[in-house]
Amino acid sequence: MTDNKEQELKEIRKKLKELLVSHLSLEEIKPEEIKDDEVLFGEGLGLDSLDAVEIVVLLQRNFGLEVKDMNEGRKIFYSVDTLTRYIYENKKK
Amino acid sequence: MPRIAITGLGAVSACGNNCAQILEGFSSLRRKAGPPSLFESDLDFPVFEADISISTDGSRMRTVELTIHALKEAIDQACLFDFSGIRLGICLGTTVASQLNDIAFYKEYRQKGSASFQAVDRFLKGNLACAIADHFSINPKFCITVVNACSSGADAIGVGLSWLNSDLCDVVIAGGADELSRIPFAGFNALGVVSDSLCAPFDRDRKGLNLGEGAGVLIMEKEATASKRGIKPELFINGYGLAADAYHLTSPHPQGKGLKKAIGIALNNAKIKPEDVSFINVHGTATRENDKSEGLVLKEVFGREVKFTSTKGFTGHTLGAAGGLEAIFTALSLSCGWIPSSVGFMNMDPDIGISPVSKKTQIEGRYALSTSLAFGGNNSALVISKD
Amino acid sequence: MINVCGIGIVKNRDNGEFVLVKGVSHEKDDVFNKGSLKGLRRADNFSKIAVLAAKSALDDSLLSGIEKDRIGLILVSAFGPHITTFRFLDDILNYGDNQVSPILFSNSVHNASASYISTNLNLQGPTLSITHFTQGLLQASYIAQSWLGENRCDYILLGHVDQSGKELEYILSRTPELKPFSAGIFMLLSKNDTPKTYCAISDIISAGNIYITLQGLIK
Repeated sequence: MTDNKEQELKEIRKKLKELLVSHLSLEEIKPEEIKDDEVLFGEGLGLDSLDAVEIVVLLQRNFGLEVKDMNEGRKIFYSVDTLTRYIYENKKK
Repeated sequence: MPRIAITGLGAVSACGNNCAQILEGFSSLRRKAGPPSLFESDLDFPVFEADISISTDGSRMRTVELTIHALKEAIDQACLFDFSGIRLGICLGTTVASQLNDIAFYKEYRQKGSASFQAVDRFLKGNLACAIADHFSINPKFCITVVNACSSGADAIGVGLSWLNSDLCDVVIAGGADELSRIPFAGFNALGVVSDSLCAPFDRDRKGLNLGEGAGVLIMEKEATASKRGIKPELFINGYGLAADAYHLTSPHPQGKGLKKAIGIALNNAKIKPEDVSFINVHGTATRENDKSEGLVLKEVFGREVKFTSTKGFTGHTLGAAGGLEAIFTALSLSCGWIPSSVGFMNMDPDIGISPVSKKTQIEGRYALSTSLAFGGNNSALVISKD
Repeated sequence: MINVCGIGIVKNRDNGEFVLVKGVSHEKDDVFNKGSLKGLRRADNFSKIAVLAAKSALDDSLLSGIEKDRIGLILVSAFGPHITTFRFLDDILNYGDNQVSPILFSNSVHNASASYISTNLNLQGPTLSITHFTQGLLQASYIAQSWLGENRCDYILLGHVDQSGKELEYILSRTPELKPFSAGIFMLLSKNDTPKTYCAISDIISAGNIYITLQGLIK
């Protein structure tokens, strides 16, 4: 993996964690405490369907991305890592 | 317990400006929808706007105007021209009209720190039940607005029923109304539950709801009171059930726990069994979750052959008006002897396992049920009967 | 006869603290700790006030083992969660209709707080949110009386919640008699005898401006 790509992924991951904490009111955890492979729904961060649609809006506002199909969204939103990669691969330049 | 009669019905929606027009619209499968014209929006999904010219100087909210329009029809039918000497109650449900969400006002306030107070005056005079009392120059002791989201209209009728059963009132005006508004339009779209095409309740491929507007109001009174006024009613409200899912803010309980409870209470109130119910006017919003939860409960309680229909394909989801309109459509169906097609439905969803009627269908029997499921997990059921 | 068997009064101070008001028993107010807000991650302050006040009334009653579908809930508000409504309008104006927050919208719906109460306290009985600018608690009391008489439930959590806010202050600048405060007041009502009973309600009559009455209680 190139240094540039790694650096970009790192920045996206950091921003994503900050957005998750602030917009989903995750009060008991700091952004830097969220693991890269943290599962977002169910057991990991314990997010639910309402958080999922909020994340859709965060992606639109902050990365210019649309998730049209929530079935597709299930795979994208699996973990911080999968979401980071999706953002990297699809974000508007 | 004395019987509670329905002596007047009044309705307005995209499907028609009164009960007769709406029934004609049901028969002719009229689906009058298009992009919103009442407000500007980046979103152009189909909505169901009432085709009604409201002459107003802007001093009243559109929701109040829709209610007055529907109530006039109900009052005419009930021959209730003189309120003097009557212990009257007014209970009306709404969602939009209860909030100060006027965008033009707020935009101006945000920019300048001050704004024209016309929207504020509309709001402060716009508590729906109070606005109606004011318009008709009545001062009822029992007067309240219900804000139970999508079951508000049904729950307002339920409150009216409680007042009458407790002998607090002789006559009650009850129902619900909501105008089409940009706020829930944007909000429900953000929740991912709005369809970009005409809604398809209970359909296998349903994509979500269409918003609508309207008002559904009825006049309820004890049978003896109606009799004294020279009216022999044929329609009655026999039972009402209300129960909470206690599950989630935006999703219904997956097995419809609260709805099953509400239906059980309503049937119990009415002293009838599920097999006595000839049809159900369901909430049927066409969202994936509502229709699945509601369908599973109907199948469990009433069996696979249950006759049911959703009228959201004709009116859109009218939010605070929905429960009122649903009750009125149930009463009209009993009176006319048929239920409309659940327009928009094409193919059964195998996850639900039952289908609504897909064409105008004759019905027999005395009792019917109207169900409403609300945002926030509220569930309501009304049993209505015809003599 | 209806017994008042629990009372919960919660203030939301300007510094953000949620406080259990104990003036009724002449004790010092208690500040709620973070643990009390568990399960309210997404809730706005309006709903937090509502849940804390409702739970406090239930706790205050010392009752336990009540069947959860035998407790009714009637929540009154004059202006509802208006602060959240205005934040949602900010979203519409800042980002457009297609990029608004679904959480903000959900919290701005008038019966959201009743939903948070029933979910957090697992209340599965009849639930009603109503609104009136001045007579909400009075009208709610009549409904509570009817529900208990009809045996729809055995207990009712009856409460009034409102908030103050800068937009609302401007909106009400010409009507000083309407002056909401950021607080919630709940009573647990019962038609049965209970271990702790403050008083019985023998009649319900209008007592004028509810805000003056309630302000006296929470000061």
